[in-house]
Amino acid sequence: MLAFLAIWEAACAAGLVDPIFLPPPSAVLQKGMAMGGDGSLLGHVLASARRVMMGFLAATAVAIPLGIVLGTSRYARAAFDPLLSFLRPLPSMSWIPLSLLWFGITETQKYSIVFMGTFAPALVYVIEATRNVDPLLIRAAQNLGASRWQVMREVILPGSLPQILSGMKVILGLAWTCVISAELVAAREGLGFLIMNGKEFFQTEVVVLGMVLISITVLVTDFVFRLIENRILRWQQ
Amino acid sequence: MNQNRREFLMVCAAAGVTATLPMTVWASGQTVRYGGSAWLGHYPAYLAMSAGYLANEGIDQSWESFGTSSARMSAVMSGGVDIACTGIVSALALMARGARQFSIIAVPETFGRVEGLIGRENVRSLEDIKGKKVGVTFASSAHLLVLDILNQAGLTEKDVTVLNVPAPELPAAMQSGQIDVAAAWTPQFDHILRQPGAKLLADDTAFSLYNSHNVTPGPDVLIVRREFAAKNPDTVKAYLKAYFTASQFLRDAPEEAASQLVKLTNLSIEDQLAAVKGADWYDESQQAHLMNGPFIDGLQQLAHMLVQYKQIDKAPVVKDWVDASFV
Amino acid sequence: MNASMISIQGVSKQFGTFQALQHVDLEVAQGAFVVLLGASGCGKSTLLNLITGFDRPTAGRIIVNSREVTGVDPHCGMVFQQYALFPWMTVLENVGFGLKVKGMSRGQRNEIAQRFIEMVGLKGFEDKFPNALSGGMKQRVSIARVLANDPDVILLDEPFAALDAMTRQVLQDELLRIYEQSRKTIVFITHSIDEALLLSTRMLIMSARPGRIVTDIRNDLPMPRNAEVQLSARYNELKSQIWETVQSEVMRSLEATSR
Repeated sequence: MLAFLAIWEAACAAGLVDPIFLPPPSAVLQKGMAMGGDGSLLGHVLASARRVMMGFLAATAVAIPLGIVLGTSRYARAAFDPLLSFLRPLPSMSWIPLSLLWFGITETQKYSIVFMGTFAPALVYVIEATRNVDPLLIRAAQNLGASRWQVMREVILPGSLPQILSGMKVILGLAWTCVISAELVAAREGLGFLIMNGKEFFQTEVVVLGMVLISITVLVTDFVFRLIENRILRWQQ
Repeated sequence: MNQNRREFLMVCAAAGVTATLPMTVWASGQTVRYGGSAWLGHYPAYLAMSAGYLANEGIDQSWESFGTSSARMSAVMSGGVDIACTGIVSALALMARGARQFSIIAVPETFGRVEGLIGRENVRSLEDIKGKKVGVTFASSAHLLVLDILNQAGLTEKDVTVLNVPAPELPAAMQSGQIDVAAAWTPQFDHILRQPGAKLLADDTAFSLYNSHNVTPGPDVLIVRREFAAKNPDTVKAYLKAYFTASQFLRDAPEEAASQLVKLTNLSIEDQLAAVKGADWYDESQQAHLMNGPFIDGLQQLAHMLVQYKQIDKAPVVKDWVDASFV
Repeated sequence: MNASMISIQGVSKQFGTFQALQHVDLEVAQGAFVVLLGASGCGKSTLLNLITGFDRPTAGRIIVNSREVTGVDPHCGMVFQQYALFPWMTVLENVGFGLKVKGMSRGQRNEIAQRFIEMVGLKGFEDKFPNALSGGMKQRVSIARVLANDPDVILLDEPFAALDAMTRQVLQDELLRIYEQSRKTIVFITHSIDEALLLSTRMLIMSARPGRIVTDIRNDLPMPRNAEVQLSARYNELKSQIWETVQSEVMRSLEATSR
């Protein structure tokens, strides 16, 4: 990694690369420190992170219970399938015009983009995870007297949790993609906005800075997620 | 099976090569790639093509559409576009970075009345703007206008909420009341003015640099890719000849020009005519004065203003990019 | 006359065109330890599934403790070969599961669960998760879990087959001890004739498909079935009797499949 950065810096210093097309890492760092110093950088990071979290939490809050119900009931699944097949391939960007009409230029609109981009894939993951629960465990629970709802709550939910959690890691990455595309339109702050604005004024080091920050933030959220996962799934050790 | 596929591919490749050969042979003289859009600054280039002036000079123009100035400038930088009219702000941003890939070769027009702030029923004048929501496309000339107007009125971001709305969304945002004021340029400018209850609050003529230097927040300049100009100086000269013939056409026969331009803009013929008449079209003879005098000073002032509003880091020396050798 | 705990009346089970069980009639008395012996695929597991209500017979009916089996019923507790312990629950939580779904409070069910954990010899392992336990220990938890629910009947589908010989022996002794203490009605499936002779009060040999009960033998070997008993003449007599029957059934089923 360090070697890569060194080569990059040297190439720029030697004039091999026009700084407008690719700024050296030192310029990106400088810009980052300047923006970090005046507090604007943190504002952008937090704005994007907030939008990701709200959309992601909303999507999982709906997708997990709904997915468990759909995963257990063949009839519910058959009823829902046409709608799901229609929603799933739609990229989050295609929802932007409708969301602007419904919610206006508000934060809710941004949350809705993240929600629409992550809800269908999350649902699919949960349904998969639900159907992968060992049927023997379900039988055992029934044999011990659990009702249909008790089986869902006491067995299927915790049983599908490991697979749901690993799916949610992927969905979280997807949520970041959605937030960036949501922020390209009608935003005043955020990492996507930062990149977009930097592009308009050809401040390529701001663009690269934005990209680097997105990467770092995703890694951090991933790490935190893993910590939570380990706590919840300590029975797997 | 593999043999057949290979043969098929070779036939395709051969067909492709022979198909392009005649094109490069037929192109009488030169192909010029122009970066345009439905914005009024591109009217001369479009007319020069549709009225046949370019063909007379033996030039074949390929029209590439771009939604934003920055996208257009990126294409110039990477060699995908040879000549373009651009709002000066994107060019200034690149000049501030020391980009030498292009030169300014002409000034097409000045416009004062096709860009401005429009208010809904609850905003009848600039005094009413306090506490309201203004929608504008960030990093555009209209954005700079908004910042300048607010500054002149002594208002800050705390008094007025400025929202980033992409240009095509502005009419809908106004209509649905998501914003109280829209800052737009043509054609959205015209669409919004037609909405019931809409009132023009200020246009480019209210811009602080307008009275002193006759410079709007986003004046247009015609630029050429330096590498292209170095290789084809005669083509550039011929291009400008056809270009200014079109400018004269716009001045002398606006109705006729408008009827051809509606194909580019999709405006109604009345709106199109108003747009054509809303600009002062410069001809060839005016270029020398423009490229050397107060207009360039005005652009320099604009650069300083951009630095003041933190849109660019430092102001470039504008006249270092001006190349008047082709007019 | 002892009222039957389990009454299987004219039960047949078909899966599509495949006849798994054909006209099985069986009465199991309360407190009996019945072992089902037979070749693979002769319908032993199917029969167990019908008794617990996981499946429904194509013909006939089953009555457990005067109630007809119409669905899954916690009065028939099943111990699976693969343990089926809930991996995210501790031993204590697993054992108390049946009580939890009945609505019992945490304090109460933990107390009862503790008792059964001690009964199967796992005191001290209450807070462990299943993946920290050996196969034998898991099976003990499984048994404790079923016992805690106080079922009328306990059904075990080859519960010790996946364990090594030594663990198996220990668990067989455990099971006998629990049986003697609780006097529950037990239905046990195995492939092993020795296991059948060791545990049962009654042995049923089932035929190859379609499954029927071919032989019904009362196990009169004395309890406890210690080494002396296992080496006795009567033991060998019973063993050879069963062996022949089982052998011929296996041959028949092999012929049937190879035709």
